[in-house]
Amino acid sequence: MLQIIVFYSLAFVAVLMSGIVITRKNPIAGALAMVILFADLAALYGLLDAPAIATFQLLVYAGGIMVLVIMSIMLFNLKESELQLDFQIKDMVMGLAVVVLGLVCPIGVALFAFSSWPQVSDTTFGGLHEIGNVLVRGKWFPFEILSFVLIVATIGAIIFSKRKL
Amino acid sequence: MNNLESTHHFLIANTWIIWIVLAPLVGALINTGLFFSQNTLTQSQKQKISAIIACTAAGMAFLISFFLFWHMHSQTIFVQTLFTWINSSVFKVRFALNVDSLSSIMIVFITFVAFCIHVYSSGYMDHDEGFIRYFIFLNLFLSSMALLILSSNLLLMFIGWEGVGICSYLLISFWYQDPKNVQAGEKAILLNRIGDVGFLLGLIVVFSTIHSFNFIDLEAHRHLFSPGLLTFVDLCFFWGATAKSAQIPLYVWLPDAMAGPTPVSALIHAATMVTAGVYLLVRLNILYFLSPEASCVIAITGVLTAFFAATVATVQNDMKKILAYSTISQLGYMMLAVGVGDYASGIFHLISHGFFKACLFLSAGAVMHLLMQEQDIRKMGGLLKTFPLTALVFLVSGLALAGFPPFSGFFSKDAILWGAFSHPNPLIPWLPTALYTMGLITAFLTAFYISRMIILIFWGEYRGNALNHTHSLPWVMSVPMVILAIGSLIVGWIGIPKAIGGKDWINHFLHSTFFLIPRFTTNQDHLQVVLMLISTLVSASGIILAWIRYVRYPKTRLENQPQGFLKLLDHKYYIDEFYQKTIGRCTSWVAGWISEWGIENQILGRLVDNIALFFEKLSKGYQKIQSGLVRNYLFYMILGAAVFFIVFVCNH
Amino acid sequence: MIWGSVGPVQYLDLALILFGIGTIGVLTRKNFFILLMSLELMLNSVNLSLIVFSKFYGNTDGNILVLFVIAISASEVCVGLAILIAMVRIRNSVDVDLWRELKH
Repeated sequence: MLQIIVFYSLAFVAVLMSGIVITRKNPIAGALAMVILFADLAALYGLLDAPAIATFQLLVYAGGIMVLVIMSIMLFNLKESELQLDFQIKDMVMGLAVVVLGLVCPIGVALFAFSSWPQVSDTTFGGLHEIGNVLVRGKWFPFEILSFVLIVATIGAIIFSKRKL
Repeated sequence: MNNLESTHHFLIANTWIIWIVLAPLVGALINTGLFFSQNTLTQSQKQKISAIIACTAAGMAFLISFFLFWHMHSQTIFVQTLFTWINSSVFKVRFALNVDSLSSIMIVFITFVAFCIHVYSSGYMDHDEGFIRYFIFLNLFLSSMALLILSSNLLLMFIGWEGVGICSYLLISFWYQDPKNVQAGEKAILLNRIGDVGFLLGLIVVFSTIHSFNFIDLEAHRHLFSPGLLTFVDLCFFWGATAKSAQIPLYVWLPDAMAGPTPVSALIHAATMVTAGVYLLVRLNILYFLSPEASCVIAITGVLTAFFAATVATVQNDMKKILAYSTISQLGYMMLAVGVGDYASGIFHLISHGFFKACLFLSAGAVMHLLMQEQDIRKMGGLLKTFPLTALVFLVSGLALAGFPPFSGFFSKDAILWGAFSHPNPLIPWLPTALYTMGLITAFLTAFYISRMIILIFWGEYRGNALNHTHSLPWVMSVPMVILAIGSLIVGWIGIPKAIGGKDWINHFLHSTFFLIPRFTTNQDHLQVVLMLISTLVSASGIILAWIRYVRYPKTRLENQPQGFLKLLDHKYYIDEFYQKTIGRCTSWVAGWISEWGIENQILGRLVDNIALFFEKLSKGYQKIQSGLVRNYLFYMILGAAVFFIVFVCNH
Repeated sequence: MIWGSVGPVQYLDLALILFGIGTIGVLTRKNFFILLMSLELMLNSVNLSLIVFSKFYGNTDGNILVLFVIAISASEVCVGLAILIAMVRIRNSVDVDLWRELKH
């Protein structure tokens, strides 16, 4: 019962925060809502027996990425004129209709196949120990590729933000 | 029964057959090289070389043909399969040549006549600018004709059929500087196209029924044709043959085809190509034998053509026109033989006609050659003393045409008339008598017009003014003429009927080709002899009538304008005008209607315009979608994904 | 009864709703920052569903994949912000509708 209450309150906060992200005219407000959303999602991951991922979520997303975004927003020091409500209600309704009718409804119907959890007795599932084991033993090659991608992205970001391209 | 049929023939592989087709083709290719070559040879040297090459090629083809013919025994088929030409699942066609008794005798006859005419042409075409071009076409023609005769299946035969058609067109329009000759060639090829539709239709029906084009398969699977279908196929092929062999209603091209050089008229438009239609029908003999309805149509068409063409020939004044109508008339006889089911007689007459008609044309060509291309027999006369050799050759071949014994035309024509009289008709009981009577009247007319022609050319006094410029006939022209004249005397002896003590060799020889058709025998030998006497009398009376009419009163007969019925004959029954006024007018009216305001503007034009307009509007609308905003493109992507998801969920 | 228990379907529906909201944000907003955050939102919803499926099938690979997605999205944000800097330098604005070069 407690689990149900926790899930629905977390879900409610997640939907609310994501709504704030896309409707606020000031990106700072959106960014702060985003931080709350990430923390919220981390809690959900915890509920889903994935404490390791929850930790990474908090560290990388809420701690790293969002700080970067907020710093960028502040760096540009946007003028008041650019903070106008930059979308029309008509667009929003149309997008809502397409998304609800085209994506949410059909996929939501398909999802009823996953109505209950199977019985799993593995208590170590999702722990940091197991994740590390799988990552370094079995998936070491994609892991190395990933590090390479990160380096490339860093170099690319530096080149993009140079004053003279 | 089936077992007997399949073992009826002995198939013997032979690698020489293709060279009958290839030798003239190689000759044509070498001459083409010579035609385009830039070297120091003078024109006359080039002409000599090309004539020697062409004649050698034709001679080689003849020697190989004769060799095969010599080794031909009954029930033998020489076969040569070169390669699989078309190989597409069911549709399999081999490039294969067959020589059975029918095609062996045909190919020997054709290559022999062609060789004679090649030699003759080297004299006749001397001093002509297109000398080498002429021999290229002539060799090409011989090659196509050999392919037509030797092919083992209908599709390959169709290549030869089209090949001879195109060579005929090229040679009719040989002197292309004169638009009239070009028009004559166009007329010939146009009417032949009409016939080709029939041939193709027949091909398609045959293939869809038995899934093969081979003549041997055709004989083996003949029971697959239902009677109605069989009649349809027969009439389709006959339709093709009416164009090629100049039968009613498609014969009108042949008189105009005389626009070509005279040796061409002799070879293509008298002896060989025009008989291809007859050969086709004889080749498919079993199909015609099994369909009395189609045979009836052929017999009636044949005899009507023979009669009408003979009547027209009696009043013509152009030497070559007379011979052209005579050819149409004789082809009608051959069709009559095919129609009554007497295929061997048809081939017999084909061969004897080939000899004497080629000879007649060559003699006429000699007269023209000596008289500065004069063709009007009213401006001749009394040439007997000037050209005795030509007169003799003309006389021999003329008597053969008139059907006077013992010349070849007598035996072959009589074989056809006897066949028409004696074969009972299962559909119309009185038809044999009617066919025989018509044939006899035609024989009378034939004797009359050929005698009239000979008398007007060689008898009496000279009425023209070209005699002063004559020169002598070169040996290359006279020797082939003499050889063909001897041929038109003796070729008939291969088919002397048993009734008068002959062996009827050709009937025996061809029997292995017609083995499926029950041999026709009668014991009315005395009746046959009586009929032969009657036709001799008819032929003689035709000659005598011409003698009375043109030797007694030559002047008045010639200078009077023809009146009444003769005027109708003089204008060839106005058939050309009739075709012009009906089919020609209708076609040009329809074409005009289509191009002026009918389909062209109203339907096709508007259709095209509207299609263009539709796409213009579509692209204008499409432009608006191209906003350049990635946002919008993403929106379209999601719309597409939504469609996909909805379909996916609906399906599960 | 749907509300009575928490099965995979409730988590997945939540992921779906978050994904839809992110999509709407990407489709309708013009501010580059908000666009970027909407993209992050979509990525996170996919992460959520990956975690759910990982638990549902008892397979750790889903968790590993989420880890990879986090790393990739970090580099994506990194490059995206660099592009934004270049864009602001050229156009002096964060409005993505000013970028219409695809039309030409």
